[in-house]
Amino acid sequence: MSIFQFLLVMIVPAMISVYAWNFAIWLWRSGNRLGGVGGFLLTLVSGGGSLGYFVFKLLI
Amino acid sequence: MNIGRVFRLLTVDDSITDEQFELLPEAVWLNREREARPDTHVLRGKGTWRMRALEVRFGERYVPSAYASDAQIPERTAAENAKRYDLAREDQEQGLAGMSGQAGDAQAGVDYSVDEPEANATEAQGASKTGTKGTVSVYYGRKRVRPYSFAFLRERALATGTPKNKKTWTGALPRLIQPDLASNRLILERLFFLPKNADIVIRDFRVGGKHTVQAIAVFVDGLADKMVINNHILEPLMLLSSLETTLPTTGLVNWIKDALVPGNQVMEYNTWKEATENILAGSTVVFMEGASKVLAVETKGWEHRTVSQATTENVVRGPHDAFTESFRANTGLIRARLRSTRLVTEIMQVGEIASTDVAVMYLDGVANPQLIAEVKRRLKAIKVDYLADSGMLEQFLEDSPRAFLPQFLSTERPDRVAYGINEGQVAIFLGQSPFAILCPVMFWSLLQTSEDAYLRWPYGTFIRSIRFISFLFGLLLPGLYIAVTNFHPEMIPTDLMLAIAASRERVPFPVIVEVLVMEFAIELIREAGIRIPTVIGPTIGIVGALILGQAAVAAGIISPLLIIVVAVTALCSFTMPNYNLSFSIRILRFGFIAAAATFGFYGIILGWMLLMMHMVTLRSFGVPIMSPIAPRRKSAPDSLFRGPVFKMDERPQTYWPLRPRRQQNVTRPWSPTVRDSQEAKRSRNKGAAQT
Amino acid sequence: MAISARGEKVKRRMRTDSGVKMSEVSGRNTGGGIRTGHAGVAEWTVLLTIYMATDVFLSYPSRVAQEAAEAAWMVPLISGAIAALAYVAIHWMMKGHPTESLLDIVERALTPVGSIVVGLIGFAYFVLQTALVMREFTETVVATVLPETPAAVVTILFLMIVMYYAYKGLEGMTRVAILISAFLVIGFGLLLILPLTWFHSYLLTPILGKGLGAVALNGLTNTSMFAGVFILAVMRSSVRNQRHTLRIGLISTLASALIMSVVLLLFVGTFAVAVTGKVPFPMYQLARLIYVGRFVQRVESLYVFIWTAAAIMKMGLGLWIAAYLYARAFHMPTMRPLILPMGMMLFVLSFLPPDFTTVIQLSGELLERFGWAVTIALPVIALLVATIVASIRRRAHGEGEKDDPKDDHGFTERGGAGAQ
Repeated sequence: MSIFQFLLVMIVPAMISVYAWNFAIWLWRSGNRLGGVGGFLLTLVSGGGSLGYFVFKLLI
Repeated sequence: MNIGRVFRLLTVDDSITDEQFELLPEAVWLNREREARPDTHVLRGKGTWRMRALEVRFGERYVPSAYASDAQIPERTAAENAKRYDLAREDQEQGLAGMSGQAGDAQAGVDYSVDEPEANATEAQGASKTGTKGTVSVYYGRKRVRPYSFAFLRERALATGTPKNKKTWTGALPRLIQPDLASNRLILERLFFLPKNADIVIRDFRVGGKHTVQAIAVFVDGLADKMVINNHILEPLMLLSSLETTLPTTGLVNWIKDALVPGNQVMEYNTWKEATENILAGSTVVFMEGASKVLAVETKGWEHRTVSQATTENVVRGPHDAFTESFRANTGLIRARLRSTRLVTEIMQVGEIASTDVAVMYLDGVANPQLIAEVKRRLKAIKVDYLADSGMLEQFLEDSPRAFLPQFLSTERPDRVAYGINEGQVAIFLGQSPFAILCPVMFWSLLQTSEDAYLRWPYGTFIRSIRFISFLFGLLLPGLYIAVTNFHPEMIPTDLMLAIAASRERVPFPVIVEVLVMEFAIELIREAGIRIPTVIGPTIGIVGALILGQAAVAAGIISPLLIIVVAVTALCSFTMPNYNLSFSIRILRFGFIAAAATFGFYGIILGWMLLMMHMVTLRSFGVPIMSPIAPRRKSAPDSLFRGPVFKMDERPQTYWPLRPRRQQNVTRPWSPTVRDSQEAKRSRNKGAAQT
Repeated sequence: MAISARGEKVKRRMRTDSGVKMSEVSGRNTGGGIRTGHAGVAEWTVLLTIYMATDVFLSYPSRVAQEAAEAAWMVPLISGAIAALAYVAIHWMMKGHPTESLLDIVERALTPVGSIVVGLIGFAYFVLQTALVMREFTETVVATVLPETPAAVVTILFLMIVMYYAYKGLEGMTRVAILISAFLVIGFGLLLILPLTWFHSYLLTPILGKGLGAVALNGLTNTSMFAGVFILAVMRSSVRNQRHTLRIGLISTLASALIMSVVLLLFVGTFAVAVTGKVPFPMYQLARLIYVGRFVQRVESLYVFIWTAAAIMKMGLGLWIAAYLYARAFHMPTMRPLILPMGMMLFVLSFLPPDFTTVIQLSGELLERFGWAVTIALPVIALLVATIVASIRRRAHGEGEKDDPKDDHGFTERGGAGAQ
C-alpha cells in the first residue's frame, strides 16, 4: 500500500473520529459529564481502533 | 469546498435533538406540550388550557369549532371576548403599519375613524380606538370610547385648513385614510405613480343634490367591470343621490353604503393597505370628502378562462370540470359540491410587494385543528415578494424539501378536492393557479384517481392494482433487465437467453449504454411532446416511433427486446395519475439503472431498501405518507385496493380527524344479507330509541 | 418532548384520556430522554420475527444439523420455548412498571453503575454479533451473486444502508418490516415449497438423532438466537399498546422458532445429515435445487432479494439497539451521532477475522454458544436482582413509601396521583 493510498483510506475514519470527538465535546459542554465520558470512550474505541487497524494493515 | 464547511459538517450542535412536526391526536400533543413547557400552561379546565396550548404552539388565537361538540370549550365572558378581539386587531394593525415601507407617523396621533359607536358590546370590530378629546363617554366592553357625530367630524376636518397648503405628502405616507379628499388624492398619486401609471383610473364626481359631497372612485382599468361601475356606483351616486335633499344624520359613509351603492359586496376600510389591496384586486374604491373611511365595492371583472375540461387528470366516469385561473371560481366550485355550513374558506395574502390570495379550505369539526393551525402557520411564515403558482407554494410548505416523492396532492379536479376535504384534509388554493393542493397526503392516494371510487369496487380495485404494478415496473424494469443480462444470465431460461443473445448480436454497445440512450430518447419525446406547438403535434409521434424505434433497430444500434422494455417502462410511468409522482418515478428509475449496472440484483435490492426507508419516514404535514399500511392505522379499505363503498365507514385515522366515522355502520339496511345481521338490528334499535 | 441537552428526564405526569391509549397520551419517556418513537404491536412482532429468523440464511442451520443430526428440527423449538419462558418471566417481573424499560428498572435499583454495566454488555454483544453477521452476509453475497467484487465494497454498501436504517430509527425500521413482510413471506414460502420434490422423509429418521440428551443440550445452548427477548425487555416502553407486550414477545419468538424448525426439517430431509454440515449456505443450496419445468429453474439469484432485505433489517436493528444501549447507559440525549463511529467499528470488526472459516467458527463456538448469557440470562438476572434490591430497600424505608429517595426522575408517579 503506497502512502497516498494509505492517506486516502485514512480520510474517512479520521473524519468520523473528529465527528465523534466533537459529539463528546458537545455533551461535555452542555453539562452531561457522564455522556461526555461515554462519547470520549467511544471515540477512543472506534476511532482509535479503526485508525490503529489501518496503520497495522499498512505495517504488515 | 472549503475547510470550514467540512469542519462544520463534523460538529454537533443542539439541532441534533430537534424533531420534525408530527400530526398527533389532540390529547397526545397537548400532553407533550404541557411536558415540554410546564410553566406556560395553567390548568384551568380542559378547554381554556387547550386554547392556551394552541396559542403557544402556533402563535394564533384558536376559535373553537361550533360543531365539535366534544371539545367542551367553556363560554367566555363578553369582556374576555372583547379583549381578545381587540388584541387581535391591534396585532393586525401593527402588521399593516409598514405601508410603502415607511411607518406613518405623520398622522399617528389623530384618528377620525369612529363614526358612531355601536351599542352592542359583543361586536367589537366596529370600534377600534378612543379619541383624545370629547365630552360624553360610553363604556364599551372595558374600554371607554366617545361618540362623534358626522357633523362634528366634518367640522373638525374642515377646521384643519386647506390640506394642500399644509401638506404636500412628500414625506412618509400615513397608514390611515385621511379625512380630506385632496390629501387622499395626493397620496393616491404617490402610491400609484399616477400620471405615469396609465391603467389606474381616478374618477371625480359629486354625491348628492343640494348638499353635495366631493368624491372620487378609483379602479384599475382591465381588472374592474366597467358596466358595474357605471350602473351600480356612478349612476346611483351621481344621479339618484340628488333626489335626496336633506343631509344625512347617520354619517356620510354609512348613508352611502346603506342607501346609495347597490353593489352586492361593499366593505368599509380605513387603512391604505386595505384600500390599495382592494383596488389591485379589481374592486372600485370610493373616497369621500370629510370621511376617513373608504368604501370598496366589489367590481371584479377581468378576463379569464371559463371552467373547462381537466387536462391532466381525465376520467371516463365522473365529472369533467376542472379548476381555472380564477380564484373565486375555484373556491366556488368546491362550495357548489360540498354544500355545508361547516366548510370554512379562510383567505389570506402572501407576498410582500405583490400579494397573492391564498385560501385555506377545510371542514370545521372534521379536519384536525392542529393541522389547520400548522398549515396557516407555515403560510404566514412565507415572506416572498411575489408568489406565482401553487407549485411554488408547495415547495415552501413541504416537510422534507430533499425528498424524492411529492408530499402534496396537487389536483385540478374539484370533485377530488371536495372528497379530500370531506376526509379531513385541508385544501389550499392560490391566486390564479388552476391547481389546488391537498394536504396531508398519503402515498397511496397519489396512485389513485377519483374514478376508482366512482366505479364499482371490483373494477376500481382492478385498475388500481394495474397502476400499482405499473408503478413497480416503471421503477424497476430497466434495472432488472440490465441486472439479468449483465450479472445473472443463468437465471434466464436457455431459449430466452439465446433469443436475447441473438437480438444483441449486432449491437456494439453494452446494455447500460443502450438503456440510457433509449431512456434519453423517451424523455426527449416526452419533453418535445409538451413543448411542441399543437399544430405540428402529431409529427412527434411519427418521428419518435419511426426514427427512434424502427430505424435504431434496423441500424443495429439497439436490440429489439430493449425497445420493448423501454416502451413498457415509459407506458408504466405515464399511467401515474399524479404528474409529480411520474417525475419521481422517472428520476428514481435512473438510480435503479445505475445500481443494477454496478451491482446487479444486490444493487437493486439495496436501492429498494433505501427507497423503502426513505418513503416510510417521509411525512406530509406530519403524517407518515405510507400510512395506513406502514405504520398501520385504522382506515377504510381504500389504500392499495378499493373496498366496497359500504365498507368505507371510517375516515383515515392517520389524519386524526375530529369525526372518525363518515357513514353509518349499516348503509344498506334493506339488503337481505345485511338486514338480519346483529349490526343492523342494533342500529335499528338505536334509531327507534332516538325517535 | 422533555429532553434537555443534559439528558435529564424532566418530570412528567401521566393522565389517561378516554379513547386514547395511555402510552401515547403520556408522550412517555422511552429511556434516558432518547426519543425513539412508538411502534404498534404488529410492527414490533414482524420486526422481531425477521430479526430472529434471519439466522436461517446463515450458518446456523448447518451447524445445528451437524450437532443434533436428524433431530435438528427440534432444537429451535426447544430453544424457542425456553426463550419464551424467559420472556414470560421478564414480563412478569416488569409488570409493575409499565412505563419503564429494563435499564430504567436496573438503574433505579442498582444506581447508574448497574445500568452502565448492563448496557455495555448488551452493546458489546450486539456490536460483535452484527459485525459477524455482516461478514457472513458479505461472504454469502460474494460467493453467490457477485463473485468478482471485493468483499470490502460489498460490506461498505451494506454498511451504508444499515447505518441509514439505524439513523432513521425504530419507527422507520418497524414500518419497513411491515411493508416487506408480505414479500418475505411469499418468497420464503416459495423457496420452501418449490424444492419439495427432493424431500425424503426417511432422511429424518432416526427421529431423535443423536439422542434426547444431545437435542436438549443443543436446545439449551442455542437460545442466543432469540435476542428479541432482550431487545423487547429494553424497548418495551416504546410499544404503542402496552397491554400486548407479552403477545409480541411470545408470537415473535415462537414464529421465528417455527420458521427455523421448518427450514431445518426441509434441509435435513432434502440433503442427508452427512452433507448438511458441510454446506455453508443451506438456503442457497435449497434454492439451487428448484426446478419446476424448463422455465422456472436456477432462480437462486432471485433469493438474493430475500436474504439482503432480511439481512439489512437484522443488521439495522442490531446497530440501532447497540447505539441505543450505549447512549442510554451514558445518559446521552440522542443516539444518532453514535451511529457513524459504530458503523466504522462494525466495518473493522467484521474484517478482523482472517477468513470465512474463522467467522463461522467464531459465531458458532463463541457467540451462538455463549450468547444466551447476554440475550436470555442477563435480563432475567438483572431484573431479579433489581426486584430483590428494590423490595429490600422498600422494606428498609417502610411499607408506605413508594418513591425511592434516589429516584429523581419522577417515574413512579403513575396514574396522575400526586402529580404537579
